[in-house]
Amino acid sequence: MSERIRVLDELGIELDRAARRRLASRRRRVGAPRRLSLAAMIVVLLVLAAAAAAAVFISSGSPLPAPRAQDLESGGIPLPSTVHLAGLDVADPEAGAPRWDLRLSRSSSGETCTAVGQVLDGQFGIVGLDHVFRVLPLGGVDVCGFAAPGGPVLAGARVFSGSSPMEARTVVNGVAGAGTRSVTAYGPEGARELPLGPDGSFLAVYRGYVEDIRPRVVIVTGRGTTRTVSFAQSSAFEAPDPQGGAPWQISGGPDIEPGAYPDENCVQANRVMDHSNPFFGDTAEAPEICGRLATSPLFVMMRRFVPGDGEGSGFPWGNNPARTLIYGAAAPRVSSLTLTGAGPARTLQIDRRGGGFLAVLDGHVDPQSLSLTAHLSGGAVVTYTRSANALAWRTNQPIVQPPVPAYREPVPAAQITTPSEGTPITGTLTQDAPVRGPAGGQPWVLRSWRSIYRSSGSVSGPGVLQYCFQFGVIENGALVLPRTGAAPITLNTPGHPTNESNEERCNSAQILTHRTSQFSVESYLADPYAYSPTILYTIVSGQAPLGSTHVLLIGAGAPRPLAVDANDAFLIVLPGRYWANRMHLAYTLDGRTHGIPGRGGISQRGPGLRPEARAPDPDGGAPWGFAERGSSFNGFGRIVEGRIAGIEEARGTVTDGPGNFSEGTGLRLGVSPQVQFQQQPEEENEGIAGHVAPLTRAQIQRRTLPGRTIITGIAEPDVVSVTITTPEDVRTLRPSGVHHLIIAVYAGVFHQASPTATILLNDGRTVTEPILGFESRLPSRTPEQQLQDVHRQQTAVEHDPQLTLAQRRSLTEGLPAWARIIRLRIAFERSHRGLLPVP
Amino acid sequence: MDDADAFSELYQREGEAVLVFLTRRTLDVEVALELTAETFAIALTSWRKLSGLADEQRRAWLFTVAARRFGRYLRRASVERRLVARLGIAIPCAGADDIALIEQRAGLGELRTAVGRELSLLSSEQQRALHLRVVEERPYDEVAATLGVSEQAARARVSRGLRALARTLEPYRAAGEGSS
Repeated sequence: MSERIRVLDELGIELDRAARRRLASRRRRVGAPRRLSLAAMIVVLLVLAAAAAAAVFISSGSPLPAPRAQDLESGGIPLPSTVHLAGLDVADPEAGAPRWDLRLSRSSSGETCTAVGQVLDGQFGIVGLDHVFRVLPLGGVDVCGFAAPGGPVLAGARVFSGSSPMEARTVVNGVAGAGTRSVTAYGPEGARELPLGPDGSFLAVYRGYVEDIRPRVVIVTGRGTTRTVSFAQSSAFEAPDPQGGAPWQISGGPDIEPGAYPDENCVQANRVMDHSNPFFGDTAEAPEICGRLATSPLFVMMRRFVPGDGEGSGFPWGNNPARTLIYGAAAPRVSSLTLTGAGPARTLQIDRRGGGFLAVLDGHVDPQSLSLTAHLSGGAVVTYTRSANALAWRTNQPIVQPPVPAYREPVPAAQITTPSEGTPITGTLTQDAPVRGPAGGQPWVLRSWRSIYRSSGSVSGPGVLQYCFQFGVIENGALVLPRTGAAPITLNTPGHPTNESNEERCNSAQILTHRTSQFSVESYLADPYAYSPTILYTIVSGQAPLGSTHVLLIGAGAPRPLAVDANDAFLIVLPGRYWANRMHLAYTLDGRTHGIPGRGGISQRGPGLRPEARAPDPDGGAPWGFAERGSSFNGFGRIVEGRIAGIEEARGTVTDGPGNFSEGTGLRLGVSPQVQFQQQPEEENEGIAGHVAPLTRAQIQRRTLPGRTIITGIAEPDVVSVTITTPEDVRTLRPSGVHHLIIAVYAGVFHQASPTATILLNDGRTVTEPILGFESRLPSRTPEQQLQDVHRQQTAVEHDPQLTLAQRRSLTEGLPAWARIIRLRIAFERSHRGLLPVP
Repeated sequence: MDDADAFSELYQREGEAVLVFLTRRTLDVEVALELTAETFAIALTSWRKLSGLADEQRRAWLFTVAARRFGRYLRRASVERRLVARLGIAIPCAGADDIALIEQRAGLGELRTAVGRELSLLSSEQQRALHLRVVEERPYDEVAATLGVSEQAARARVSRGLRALARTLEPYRAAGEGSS
């Protein structure tokens, strides 16, 4: 047996303690501050503008810049000579707004390309949030694809943001192919048969976001076959929220946990993520509950949830508005459910796959005033006035209904603070003299201190000595961090809890000993949204090894002496051209001079990483690139001066090397996928917590959604092309570079439907795979499938040569018992057919 | 098994792999240990999501978070401990034995030995050229002047030396990926 790493075991004990406190206790605490939704962000910005512009007046602006051909698939570049409008001329839901049309073109490789836009005075463009019409360039928003047998050439749902959810537009569009008999679009208002343009092109415009509309189109081809394309459809069983916005979903199935009864099912309810509820960490969750559906026709929870509920239970409600939920699961012998006591009686739908049901009421509704009546198929009627037959998840013990909590409102975000990195030790706080860059500009100021770091809840014990610093510029006597297109952030005096990022950078003394330095190289851009941003100057900041002297910065021209302050911190402003240089520190310590390459700086990020695959940025900014260096350095980011770099737009900075890593650990189903996909959301404004990002120029001009979704893939050599279908569009990409890489970048985040990929192999076969994301859930599996999973896991562990005997034992010890429970469930279902819901 | 047990099992199963993954990238055990602690703290605060995932997804989720933490560390030159602090987790200190063991598991020793071996196999001219260019970051004209050769010859020596080192490192990178 291999030797154990003591410090890893000690960390394990700490994590275990924290897990028991967090997952087992009932201590109440409000959740993290909720960030403003897209709608709120836009409202903030546009309230004043709207007040000033009582009447909508559309002016004309400069055409939007086109993407560079080098960033597009070479075969997918529309040919200017083939461009024409489809002439669909569809009215906007708002009277007087420019009408919508589809621009069609052909690429050099024969693909059909489309772009969605508005037509004003004979020109094809888009009206921005600033009410300025700008001509759309060819290739900018065009999507290209080949005709697919049995389906449309292209179909998508482009979303354009608005000043409110109802001002947003979802434009369902596509090219169904010549000879198409009909295209019918289904949305909230019902069915619309769409007029067809050239090549069976079609377009329908809806108010709102695609998740709200959930449109689908039914295409009848020239041969009479029918094809349905759905957008943002969810397979979940959903119920509306009483205040509108994101719906709720209930999910569940057979309970196959240890100790479960063979007829036991579990369900759980939570709010769906969408544009109005975009962050997983903030989502309200109701507890998972279970019940025996052979002995009772249903189990139900009828409960009011208020902000702060469920903290420590694994199902925190968070700082979300109070709601009264009625949810559970019903056996197939329940033919209908009726809820009374909150307005008119209502029928609750039962999900016939799993038996779940759900109603979400305003939090003011007292659950004790409600009645749920079940009509059984034999004619019997059972009425429930409180939670019934529910067992707690895992323990399978009857749930004791807690007293109904008093209604309360969420805590205002401004009142929620996060802990500081620690109060400075008396006498250690220093603020250095301003440092001016070689090209002038604002002088930068370094502030540093030492503090004792103690984890929260721990007031005794020695704590950990740490060295901290922050830097910014002085404005009106205060240290502030400049931002792009927004007011600077005041950097508060260290030690004060705040609901905003304080940009404190701390490292423990432990890290800074052993001759280790920690420094970063960040360069400021003239316009972080530009395609080729100009680098103004470069800031190198960090901490020298403790006690070192004669510190030199090596790698940015001649060696530069660094002025290291009393807390071993330093800051130097260099010309922008050094932004991608490989730097390290040389210094004297204990009488010896050291010049080891920087261990904490940029040396590990693979400087000089050149993109093998590239994609245009949806907002017209620096393009995106994906590269693989060897087998362990896959990274993607923005392409700046031909290198892969990380741009933080809100801060206006660029750093060399990939901003994100795609380590080949992407989520995948399938035994040996032809393409290793990874889907990552890129949230806006990461790193400046608590601050609402201002709208970017592109979001105003192009009405693109905030954030991005990046799909990367590493393909096997026999992959010819990959067609990625997302709620937004269908794109066909060809792997490029020696490592056969692909990258696709989309505006916004796909909250619901997961993209899929159809992979064309060089022997003519096609393989379809889901592209699961960072936040995706696997589809529910039947007990038979789960039994196969258990066997597969057992085999994989037993045949993994890298596992030690102890690891093997640890990984497989629970599997036989698990398999036994699943077999019991399967046997029960087979001997009591029709008694339990079908998963 | 309750949630806390399940979380601890995840740590038992993946903790070392995450630590090795981060050590190979940061080349610093203490930094990697703090990043590992923060990664699992994030996992703990996201447990209601993780608990619903299959093992393979959990693992992928964990390594994606670790890679993101690493990227953030590179950008800020500091290890964030926001969630570690909030959850009241004290990060233990790594002793000399621990550091040696973790470096061994991460293959850093082998990596250093391999680089040293490969360096020793280079000609003295190549070694000198690499030192001037890579360690001292001298421009090629200075490297050439110091070595008394043309700039083209200096470039060729550095280039050949770097290629030899890259060939040496490649199998170790591959092995690290396999173990993580």
